[in-house]
Amino acid sequence: MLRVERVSKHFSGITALEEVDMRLDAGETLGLVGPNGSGKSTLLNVLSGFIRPDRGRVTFKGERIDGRRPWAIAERGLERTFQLPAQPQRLTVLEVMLTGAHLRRGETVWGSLVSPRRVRAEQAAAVERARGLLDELTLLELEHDAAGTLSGGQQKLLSLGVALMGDPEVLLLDEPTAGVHRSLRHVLVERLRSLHDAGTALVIVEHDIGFVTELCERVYVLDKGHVITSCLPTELASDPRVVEAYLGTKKRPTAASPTSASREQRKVPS
Amino acid sequence: MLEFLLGVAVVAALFGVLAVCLNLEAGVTGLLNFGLVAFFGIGAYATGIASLHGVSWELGMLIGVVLAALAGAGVGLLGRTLAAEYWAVATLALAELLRLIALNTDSVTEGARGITTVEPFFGSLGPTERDLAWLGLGLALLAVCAFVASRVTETQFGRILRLVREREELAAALGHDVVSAKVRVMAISAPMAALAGSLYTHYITFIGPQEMAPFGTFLVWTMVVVGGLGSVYGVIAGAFLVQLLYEVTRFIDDITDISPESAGGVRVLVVGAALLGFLLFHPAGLIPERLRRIRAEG
Amino acid sequence: MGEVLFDTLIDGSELALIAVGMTLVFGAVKFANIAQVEFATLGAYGTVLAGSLIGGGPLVVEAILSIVGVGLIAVGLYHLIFKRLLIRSPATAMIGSLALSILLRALIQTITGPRPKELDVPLERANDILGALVTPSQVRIIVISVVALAALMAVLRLTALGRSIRAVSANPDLAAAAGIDVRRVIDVVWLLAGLFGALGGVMYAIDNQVSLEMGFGLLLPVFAAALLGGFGSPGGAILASYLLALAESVVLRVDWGEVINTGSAYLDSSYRPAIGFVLLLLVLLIRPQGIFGREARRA
Repeated sequence: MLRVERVSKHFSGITALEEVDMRLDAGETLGLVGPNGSGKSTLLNVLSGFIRPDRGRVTFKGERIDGRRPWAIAERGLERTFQLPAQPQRLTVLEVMLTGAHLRRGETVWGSLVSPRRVRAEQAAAVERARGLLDELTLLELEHDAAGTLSGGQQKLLSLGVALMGDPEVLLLDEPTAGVHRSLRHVLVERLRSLHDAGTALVIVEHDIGFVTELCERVYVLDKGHVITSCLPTELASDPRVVEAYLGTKKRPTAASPTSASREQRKVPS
Repeated sequence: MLEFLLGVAVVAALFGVLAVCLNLEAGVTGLLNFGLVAFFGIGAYATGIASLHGVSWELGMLIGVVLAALAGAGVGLLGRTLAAEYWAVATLALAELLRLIALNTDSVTEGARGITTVEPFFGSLGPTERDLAWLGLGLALLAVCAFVASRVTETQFGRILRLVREREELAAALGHDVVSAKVRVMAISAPMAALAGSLYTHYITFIGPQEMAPFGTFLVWTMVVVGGLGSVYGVIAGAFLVQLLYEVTRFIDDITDISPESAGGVRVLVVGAALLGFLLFHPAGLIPERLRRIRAEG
Repeated sequence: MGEVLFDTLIDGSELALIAVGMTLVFGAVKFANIAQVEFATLGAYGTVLAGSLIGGGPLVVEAILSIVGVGLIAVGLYHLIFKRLLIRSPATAMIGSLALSILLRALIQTITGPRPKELDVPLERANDILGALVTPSQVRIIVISVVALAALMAVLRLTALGRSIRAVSANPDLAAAAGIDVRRVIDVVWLLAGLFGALGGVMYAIDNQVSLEMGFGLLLPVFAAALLGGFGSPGGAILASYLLALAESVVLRVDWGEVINTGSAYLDSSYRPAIGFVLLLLVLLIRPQGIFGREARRA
C-alpha cells in the first residue's frame, strides 16, 4: 500500500536519509525505531509531504506521492500526527476536532456565507462524530476548553483524535506515547488496537520499545539515515546491529513503564 | 461640534471596514498585511480614474473591486512560498510600489496633484444631511462587511483559517490546501477594502498618492490591535476609538504652542504610542477574541 | 562606466552598513526589525543635534557622538520594547518594529520639523576619476564604509566575540549550553546594529541630505539586501548590498527605449526606489533563502 524506494535526503552536508526502503501493506502496523537523529522524523516528513526527497520515490496505493503537497497526500488517505502536538490556543478542543473533518460544503466561501441546511447538517454530523471520538479518548469534558491549555499527554491524544476524523487508511504516528501519562497510555493502546482491527494501517515512530512490541507486527530500525534491519519486535533486543546503534548514545531501547505483567502481553498481534 | 463628530464617524465607519478586512487577514488567518492601503488605493484610484474619463461611478467602483480581488488573490498566492514575516514585507513593498506608480504616472493618475473630478454623492442635500446620509451608507457597508467576516470566521472555512494562523502545518497535514485558503481569504477581504476606498474617495471628492502612504496601514493596524485582534466587534470599536483619537489631535496646535509643522508629528506619535502601548501591555486589545462554543445545531 | 562603478560603491556602502545591522539582529533574535533603517535616520539627525549642542565642532566629532548615541538607543529599545514583544512572537515584534519606525519619525518631526536639513559638509570640487565626477567626501564615504565593514567582518571571523555571535545566530540553545553568555551577545549585536545603521545614515546624509523619510526610503533595498544575502549572514548582506546598488545603477542607465525599440526612453530617477522593490519581490519569489541563506520558504 505504501512503498518507499531508495529515498535519500541531505541537509547542508548532513545525511538525514540514505537509500531507505520500506514497505507497508494494507492493515499492517509497523514500528519505526532508532536513536535520536537516525532520520525517523525526516522519513515521516517525507511520507507526509513536508519534505521532498532528493532521490527515490514514495508510492501510495499505486500513486507516486513524493514531492506532493501535504494536503494532497492527506486527502488521499494518509494522515499523521506531530511529535510536539502544540495545540492551538484560540481554538477549542471540539473546534480542533472539526478541522480534521472533511466538511466539503462548509469549507467553501459560498457555504460559509449562506450556510444552507445541508452545510449545517454536515457539520452537525461531524460534531456528533467528534464528540464520540473525544469520549473514547477521555477528552469529552474538555471539549469547550482551549486546545492549547490541555496537558501534553491530552494534547497528544487530541492530535490522534483529529487525525482520525479524516478516516485515514494509513496513519503515521510520531512518538505517540511521549509525554503521555501512564494512566492514559492504555487509552492510546486500545484505540490503536481497534484501529488495527478495523483495518487502518499504522506506522508508529517510537522510543518506547514496550509499546512497539505491544502493537507492531514488524519493526524497521534506522540509524544515521540508513535502515539497518527490519525484524519482529521481539528480535530487537537480541539483534547486535540494533544494540550497537543504540550504544554510544544516551538513549537505549527501553521498555518504559510496563510492569512484568504487561511483559507477558508482549506478543506479536495477529 | 456635531459636524465634526459626524465627519469623524463617517471616516471611522469606512476605516472600520478596513479594520474588519485586516482582522480577517491578520486576526483570523495570521496574514500580516503591512500593505492594506494598497487595496484601499486600488478602489480609490479606480473611482478617481473613472471620474477622469467620465465613466459611471458604479463601473468605476466595480472595476476597483475586481482589480482588488485579483490583486488580493495574487498576494495570497505569494503565501505559498513565503513565511509570514517575509510576506509582510512583500505586502509593504507592493503597497509602496503602487504608491510610486500613482505618484509618477501623471498621465494616468494626475501624479502628485491628485484627482479632483470625483463626483460627490448626495450633492443635493445640505451639509449636515449629507453627512448623515454618508454615515448611513458607511455604517451599512460596515454592517455588510462585518457580517461577511463573521460568517467566514464562524464556519468550517474560518476554523481552517484560524488553524492556519496558529499551526499551518497541522492544517496542511489534515488535508486542507492552505494556499487556496489564503488566496480565498485575500480575495474576499481585498475587494471590501477597495469598496471602502471607493466610497472614501466619493466622500472627500479627491484622491492623491498621499492617501496611499504607509500611515494608512499603520492607522488600521492601530485600530485592530487596540480594538482586539481576532474579534470583529473589537476591531470596529477600535476603529471608532482610534479615529476619534486621531481626529482630536488635530487641535493639538491650537491647544499647545507646538508649531503646525511639528503638530503633524505629534498626531502620529499619539497613534503610535497607542499601538505600541497596547502591543506591549494589552495585546489582546479592548475586546479580546473569545473562544467559540459550538452549539449542536452548528 | 566609471559612474556606474562609483554609484555602486557609494550607494552599496550606505546600504551595506544598514543591511548588516538588520541581518545581525535577525541572526541573534530571529525577527526582521523594520526600525533598523530608522537608526540611519537617527544617526543623521543626531549628528545635526550634536552639532547644535557642541556648537561648531568638526563633523567627525558630531558624527561619532551621534553614532554612539544611536548604538546605545538601539540596545535600550531592545530591552524596553523588543524583548517583551519577542516573548509573544516574532510577528508581534515585527508589528512593533513597524510601529516604532513610524513613531521615531514622528518624534523627530515633532522636535525638528518636517523640512530636510543638510550636514555641515564643505562644498567641494568634484574630481574626474575614471570618467565619473567624484568629490573627496564621496571618496571618504567609500573608504570609511569599507574599512568599517572590513573591521566588522574581521571581528566576526577572528575574535572570540565574533565566534559567539555566529554561534548564537546558528543555534542559541547550543551556544548557551557551550557556555556563551547569550544575553550579552544579543546586547552587542543590537549595539552593532545601531552603530552601523547610524554610520550608514551619516554617510548617506553626507552624500544627500538629512530627511525624515531617508531611512524608510531605504527599507526595501536594505531588506532586499539582507534577504538576498541570506538573513543572518553579514557577509552575504554586504555582498548583496553592492550587487543591488549595481543593479539599480545599471537599470537607471539602460536605454530601455532601445531595448524595446521605441526610440530613446530612460527610467525616470524618481522610480529608483521602485527598482529596489521589484528586486525585493523578485528575490522573494525566486530565492527567498538568499545566496548563503537559511529557510524563508515553506517546506
